[in-house]
Amino acid sequence: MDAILTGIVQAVFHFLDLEVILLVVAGVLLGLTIGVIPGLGGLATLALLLPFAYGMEPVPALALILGAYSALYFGGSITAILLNTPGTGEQVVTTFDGYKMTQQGKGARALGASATASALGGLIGVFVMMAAIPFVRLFMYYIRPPEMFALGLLGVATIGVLSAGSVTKGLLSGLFGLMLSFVGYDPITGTPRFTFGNLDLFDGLGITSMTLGLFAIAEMFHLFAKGRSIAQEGDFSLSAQAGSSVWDGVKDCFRHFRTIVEGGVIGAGVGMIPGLGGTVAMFFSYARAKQRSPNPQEFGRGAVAGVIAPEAANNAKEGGSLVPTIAFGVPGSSGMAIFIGIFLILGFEPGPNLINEHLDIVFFMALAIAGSSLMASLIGLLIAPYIARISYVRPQVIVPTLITISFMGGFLDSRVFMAVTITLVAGLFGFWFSLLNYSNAGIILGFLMGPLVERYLFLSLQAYGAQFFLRPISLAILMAGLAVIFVPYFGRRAGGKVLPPKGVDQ
Amino acid sequence: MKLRTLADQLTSAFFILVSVGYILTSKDYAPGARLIPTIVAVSTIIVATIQLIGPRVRVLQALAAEKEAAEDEAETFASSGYLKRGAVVVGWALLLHFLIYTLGFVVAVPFFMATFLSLVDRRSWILNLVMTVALGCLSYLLIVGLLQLPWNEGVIWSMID
Repeated sequence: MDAILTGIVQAVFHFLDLEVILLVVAGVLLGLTIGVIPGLGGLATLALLLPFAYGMEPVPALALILGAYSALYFGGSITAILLNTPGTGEQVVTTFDGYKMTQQGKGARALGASATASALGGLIGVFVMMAAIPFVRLFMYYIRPPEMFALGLLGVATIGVLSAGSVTKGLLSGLFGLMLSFVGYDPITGTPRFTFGNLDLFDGLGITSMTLGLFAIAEMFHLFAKGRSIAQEGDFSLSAQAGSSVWDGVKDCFRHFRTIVEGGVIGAGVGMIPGLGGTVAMFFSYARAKQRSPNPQEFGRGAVAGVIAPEAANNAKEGGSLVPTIAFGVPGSSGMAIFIGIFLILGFEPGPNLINEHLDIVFFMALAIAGSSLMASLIGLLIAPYIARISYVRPQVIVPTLITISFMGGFLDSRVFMAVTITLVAGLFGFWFSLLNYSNAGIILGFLMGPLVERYLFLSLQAYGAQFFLRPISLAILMAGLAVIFVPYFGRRAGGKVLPPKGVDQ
Repeated sequence: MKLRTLADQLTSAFFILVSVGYILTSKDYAPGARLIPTIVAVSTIIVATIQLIGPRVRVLQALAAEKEAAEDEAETFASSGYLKRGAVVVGWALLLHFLIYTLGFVVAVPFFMATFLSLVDRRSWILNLVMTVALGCLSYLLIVGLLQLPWNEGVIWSMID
């Protein structure tokens, strides 16, 4: 208990540092700006932020990245409400009622409700996360290398299968990521593998280059190939008709406070389940609010509760998804898969060690998410109409800019030209695979988990012999992994629908 | 959708070929170094084979079948102009890669931006100029200022020297 209190106090001191607060604000502005660019997406944004982690201390780097990541979703809500264009893809549920409100001249009220619900939802998610940590710490006593090995495989299988077009494509994505991770020095024997004598490959393919390629470059190819700016026809005038101000939206949230609490709990709960993602949380929360409403027929026609419920769930999900990410190294969402890469760049290994040795960092992340959510809502409301204009920028301008920045980011990784080549090749693979509905998130997760899975397998074999996977918890986790793979199979064989809605995990 | 099916099959074949090459290459490594790569490559061959033959084998169809959501997205693949524009942007990215290799970032980036924007997006020359100068300055600050590398690091400059 002392360790937890000490961790919380240290985290508060980290957060109150002026440099950290300024970086959070900078991150929030960055996230809001990028969040309103339709099609760029949360994963691409996180990938673009990855190079910033180099050369920075862990706390300032996390402040900047978490600030941007938390603000990204409200940025996406702005275009979802004003332009019927979900900026991050996940906010499709917000458009149901948000855009209808804009059409009715209540755009400002919807934005006010969205901002307040996002901020309160983010706080609920962080509260749930902080409440879960002590229990997770108790559970970790039973987590040994065999369990970590099984959790690594479970994470790769889950993210891959749930975010790809088919079970086999999900598995192939994860396996391909694992294969790519073995390029470079073997951590156990020191043998250089699959380098073909190229010295630039001895340190592996590079997290930043791979992530930028698979997400940012691939997304830019996709945006250009679509050939149009999604927001071309939109009208984001914020009408000032009676009862439709930002403040009315804020008051709406307190009238529907129970909806926010339920949405927050649903979001945090769904966030803890790896692979389900924000869209599922938002759909569940929306469905619950509609079910509880005395006027369910108003949903889809501009009901303010139809904006509040999904927005609260979406931000709360981030706190929840941090729990499996930091505790077991199993990401709660595709975004958290990239966060594992950020942890590794900053010198932290996600898993029990992170919680046991860097509890202050864990709680700091919770505070940063909560603070960023509040700041994003406040700043976002002030500058929303101006920021939304960015969504009109043509892909012909955005695409070359971000491809160039991604190449520079990749180069920062190792300062050799090979990094630029890896970024480009990863982008080509990412574009091709996303066209065929493979999972880029599965590939990057396999890539990140490869060295850990290999090390834990080695340790398990050394300590427990070949029967290591028969340990009860390890066996249960492996069974859960098999269930992830085969439940959809049997569901399909039976003709049932076991699929998440379109857009899950993007 | 024939093109899509062919692309799927080629991709599955690609996974099988890469995995076979992977196993053959790892045969030269010490047992500890080849254990996991071999397991992963064999698993990849099995899954890729299911992906390749799955649509034709009844018992495997459910594993290889696309989700409904994915089927919707697959329509993008066949839409007119998508692949053509995709090929164009890939070509531009390859050009940028080549320019960086030959000229270095500091020269290649503004040159690429100016060329791309003047050929592809001719609507506002002021915006194009601003973007070119901004990206040029960013590349200079990053390469020369932050990384302290020479501005003329491309192969063409070393040939001239």
